Amino acid sequence: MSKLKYLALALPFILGACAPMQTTLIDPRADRSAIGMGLDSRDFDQAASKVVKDMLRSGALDKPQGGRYVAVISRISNDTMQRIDTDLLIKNIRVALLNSGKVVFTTAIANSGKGAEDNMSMQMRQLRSSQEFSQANAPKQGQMIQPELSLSGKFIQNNNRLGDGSQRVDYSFQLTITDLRTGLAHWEGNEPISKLGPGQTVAW
Amino acid sequence: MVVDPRVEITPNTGVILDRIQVNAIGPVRGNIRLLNTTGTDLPIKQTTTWFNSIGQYINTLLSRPEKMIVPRFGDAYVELIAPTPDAVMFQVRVEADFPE
Repeated sequence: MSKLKYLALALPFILGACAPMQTTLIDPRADRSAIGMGLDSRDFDQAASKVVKDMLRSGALDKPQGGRYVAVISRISNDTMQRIDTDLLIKNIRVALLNSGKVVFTTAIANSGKGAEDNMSMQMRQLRSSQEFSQANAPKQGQMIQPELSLSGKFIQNNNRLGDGSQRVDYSFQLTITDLRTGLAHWEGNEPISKLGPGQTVAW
Repeated sequence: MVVDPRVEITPNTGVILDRIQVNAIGPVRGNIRLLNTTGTDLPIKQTTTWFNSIGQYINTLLSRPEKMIVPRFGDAYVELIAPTPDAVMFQVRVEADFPE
């Protein structure tokens, strides 16, 4: 009987402990959620922000005769142990560079084997001979702009067990801007993010 | 210690504003030096908000919070680079980044 009484008293606490966590919206400016050994949007935002500041400060994107550079996204490889869409970083950088007024990206071509980032530029040109479409908005030949710069890069991860049993994970976002006329790298950046956590944590 | 209305440091942060340098010729650029005069490394989070000439908020990647650690008896710099050609005003908020 006394066991039953204890159980009855403990039941609300047990049920309370099992209550699912309430879903809440996260504002990036007031994000106090715990961090993990993997990568989340905070890491990508911070890395992209630092990379963009470095690019803008370097002057590599200041066109000598004024105006904007036309750039293309080249190969961005993910060599981390995590399944990451590289656009989590690259899109942030693209948007920030476009807003800076210094660079505009072409979507008419893409890294080898993918054709174009947006196929519609080429598909629309196939409508030139169509009798069904007015040709008022048809693009003329030679209107597409070839890129002057390309952005390429690599994401790297390195895990290390430390002497005290903890684990250190070093991520590195390496990016290069190449002048496509000369093949010379105008700007290179390496943005590291290092995390220290318990050895039991899995970082992939 | 410097007081500048463009830099807001919350009281529990432990760091002080040492210097602010801004070049307003052309795109706004500059940096802010924060000092830690204590014997403890201080994790902080800085957020730089940008505004255009009529005071409208500019939504930009460069306004996302940036985590930093100001080392004991050391300093850290907040870099200011206008994210868009029309960004002319900024407000920097520095707060402690201690776990709750």
